[in-house]
Parts: sequence; C-alpha cells; structure tokens
Amino acid sequence: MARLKGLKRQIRMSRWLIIALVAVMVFSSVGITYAKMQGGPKNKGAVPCCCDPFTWVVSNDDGAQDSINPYGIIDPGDDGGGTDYDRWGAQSSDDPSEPQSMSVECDRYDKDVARTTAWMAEDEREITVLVDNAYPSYYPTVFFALACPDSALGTITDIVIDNPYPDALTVSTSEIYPGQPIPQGGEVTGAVHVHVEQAAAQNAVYTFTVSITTECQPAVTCGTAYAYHVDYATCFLDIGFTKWGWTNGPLGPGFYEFQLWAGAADCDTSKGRLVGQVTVEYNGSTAVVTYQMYEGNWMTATHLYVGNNRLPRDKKGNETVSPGQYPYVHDPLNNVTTDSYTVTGLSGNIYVVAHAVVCWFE
Amino acid sequence: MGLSEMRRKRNRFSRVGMLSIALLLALCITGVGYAAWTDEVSMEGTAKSGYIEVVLSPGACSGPQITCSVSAPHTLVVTLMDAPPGTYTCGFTITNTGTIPVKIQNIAVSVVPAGVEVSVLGVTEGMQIEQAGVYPDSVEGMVRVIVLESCIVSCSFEVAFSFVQYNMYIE
Repeated sequence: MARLKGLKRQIRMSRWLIIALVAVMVFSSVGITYAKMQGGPKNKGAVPCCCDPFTWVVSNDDGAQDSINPYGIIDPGDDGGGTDYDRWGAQSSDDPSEPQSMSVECDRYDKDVARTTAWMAEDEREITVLVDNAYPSYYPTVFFALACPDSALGTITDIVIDNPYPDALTVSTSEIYPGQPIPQGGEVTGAVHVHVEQAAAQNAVYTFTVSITTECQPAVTCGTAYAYHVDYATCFLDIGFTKWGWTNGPLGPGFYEFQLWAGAADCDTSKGRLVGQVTVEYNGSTAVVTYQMYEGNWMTATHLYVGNNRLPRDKKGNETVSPGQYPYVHDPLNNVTTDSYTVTGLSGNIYVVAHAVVCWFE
Repeated sequence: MGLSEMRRKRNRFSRVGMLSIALLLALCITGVGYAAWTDEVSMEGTAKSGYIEVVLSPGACSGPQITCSVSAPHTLVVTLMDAPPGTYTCGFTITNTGTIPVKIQNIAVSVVPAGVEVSVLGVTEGMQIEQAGVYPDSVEGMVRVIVLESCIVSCSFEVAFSFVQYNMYIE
C-alpha cells in the first residue's frame, strides 16, 4: 500500500515537472521572439557584439555631395548645382538616371524633380530611405557602410530584399555580397539602388526593405609560448640565441609547476600573456609533462624537449631553440586546452623546454 | 490500477520529461548561438511617386465666326460658323498642375474640312512644360485657321495634344 502511494506521488511530481518544463520552454520562446523583434539580442558577454552598426549613409540625390574619410566624395554629381529646374531650392542636384558606383560620376537627367534622402536610426542599426516625388526611370542610389568592432571579424551571411511592388520598383544592391568578410576594426561599403519602373502609379507609396544578416567571430590571436620557472629558467637570449624563450633546469626528481607565457618578447614577462601552466613530474627515469591552459586560451601545437643537456640539438649536433627540432611534437592539435607527454628513459638532472602555440580571443 | 500499469505510466512520463529537457536544451543552445554569432540590420525604404496633370484651356478667339472648346482629355475642338474666306485664330493655354515636368509628345490635327488650312502656333512637339510652381509651368498657343472657301454652315476640327513626363519624350 505504501509503495502504491509512493508511485502515485512520483507520478504527480512527474506531471508537475513536465508542466514546469513546458512553462520554461514557452517563456524561452517568448524571450527569443521578443529579442528578435527588438532587432536581435545585444551580446554584452565575453563574446563581442557582432558587426551590426551602420557607420554612415549617403544618398546620391539629396542635393549635397558627401565626403567620407578615407574615401573622399562618395556621390559626385550630387552637388547642388542642378542645371535646370530647382524644385528643391538652392540645393538642386540633377536626378540620377543610372546606378551610381561609389565615388564615380553617373548619368543624370537635366532636371531635379525627385529627391532621395537617407538617415540612420540613433542605434545605427536601421537606415531609413525616403524617395520623394519619384517618377519612372528615376534611379537613386544609397551608399552605406557596415563596421565591425576591433575585437571581431565579421561576414555578411545574407542579403534579403523584400520588395512587395516589383512592377513599380526594382531594388538591388551592389558592392556587398553574401560571404563578404568584414575586416576586424574595419568596414565594408555597399549600395542600394532603387529604379522606378514604368508601371509605377502616380501619387502612390511603395515600400521596400533590405535586410543584411551578419555573422561574427571574435578575433583570434595566436602566439608562441614557453614554460618559465623563476628559479630554473634561462633565457635563450642569454645563451647566444636571437629568439626569446626559456630552458628550465637542471631539475632533479620532483614535481614542478611552470608558468606558460605567450608573447614575452625579450623574455620579459611584462610584455607577455600568462596563458597557462606546465607541470613536470619527474621520478628519476620518467617525466610526465602536462600543459594546462587557463580559461580563454587553447593550443594548436606543442613542442617539448626533455633531456640532460640544457637545449636540444639539431642534426648537425648544434644547440637549437627552434621548436620544430624538439624531439617531442604534437602538431597540429585541435584547439585543445590540455596536452601531455610521458618521456621515459631519463636519468640524472634534466632540462625542460616546453613550447606551445597558443591562441585566444582578443 | 495495477502496479505494473503504474510503472509503465511512470516510465512514459519519464520519457516525456527527458524529451522536454532535450528540447529545452536545444532551444537554449539555439538562443545562445543566435545571440553570440548573428545579427541583422536593415534599410527601410519608402518611395512616393509624383504625378502628371496637364490642363488644356481654351483662350480668346478672333471673332464670332470661330469658337473653341476642350473635350477630354487634351483635345481642342475648333468650330467655324458662317465664316467667309479669311484668317481666324483661337488661343489656348496648356498648364502643368502636376509635380513632374512634361513634354508635348504629339500635336495632331484631325478632320480638317476641305478648303481650310490649320496650323498650331506657339507650341511645338518636344516643348517642355515645368511642373506647377516652376516657370514656365504653362504655355500659350494659338490655332490659326485659313478659310479658302467659305464655310457656310459649320466646319469643325480637333487639335489633340499628348504629353509625357519630361524624360520619356520620344523624338
């Protein structure tokens, strides 16, 4: 009887568990939907925000030439010097009659009848384009740039033009394309062209949307790293080499912990980045050398020397510090955070040169 | 309810629970991935078109023997009554009240009676008329009629104009 009651209680608990899970899923879905409606979630964590902001926008028929550093004049011809028909007052630019390429003149009619203006929202995530008093064959262009923060590499993954009125308007893009990389700390420029077609009705309002999806990856920096122990390390520079790095020894049997420093030029750890540690467990005949990365770092290769001499030797028998000539190599490694070697057949005091190629997000 | 049946039911609930957890995890991973790696910006465009509107108005005529009126949309109807041989004129005005400049694409005189010569003066094909408010947004013209033989009762003919937006004129 007691067992039956226990089972009933478990079933009741399972029901509540399912209800709770469903509720969490519903709220999660609502949250993601809301985030999408708000223009996508803003990532403020360790991974940098994506290459989302527009940095500038220029219309080629707003009555004024625009100069953007470092490109110079973006829209030559939009000079406010219309040859005839100043519909827009003092700033009159002849209407473009063909798509314009950035910084290159385009054909224009001899009239200023229509006008196109474009501006960015305050959050720089949306551009509004207004084409006014348009007529068939009017062909304005809007130039813009998308940028990446210094800490990210971006890629344009998709460009979608939503044009519900294809008979009246043709909307196209140029100078940007899916797959186009956005350089770290740089920007890419693009253009949207609007062609008013013959079928466009008079006194009509047409809308269109151009959506650009970007994907970003934090910028990755990789560097060479060496194990260092304050009591046992000797800088390569101090023994006649031109590259930095350390040999550590002599080490008798015991357990040792080394710091793993990347980019410590001139063997100056203040110039470097502490990326992990290396431990050496030596029992007099076998040494177990283990690399362990600190969070946010990973390895793509390791090279190790363990022996009685202070440095390994090359094929000619000369001392070398080149990692490629160390006797123990794991290259490549698949972005690992730990790596280990077991070196046998040792005796006496040993020296350890532990090298790694270490990467991290900027 | 038997013990074994309750066990089966419990197992079923466990399976559903596991499935829910898996779905929840997938959803979370999707959300996190979305947040970290993709973003979307957009350009919202609005295109407002202008319009063409041309008004043809009859003007003063040279005498009681000649009258003119406008029939839709841009046709001038000229009528002669008891007109002895001679020269008669009728004026007209073309006004662009739209927002787009226009050009006169064609001027066609039709159904000209025998013994009458008609010419249109002051306006020509290809002439541009600016939109409302911009000079010149109207032009004045004249229909000149030379009657060679008396038009005893009534002679009439039409002068039809067609217009196109300024950049669509075909020579």
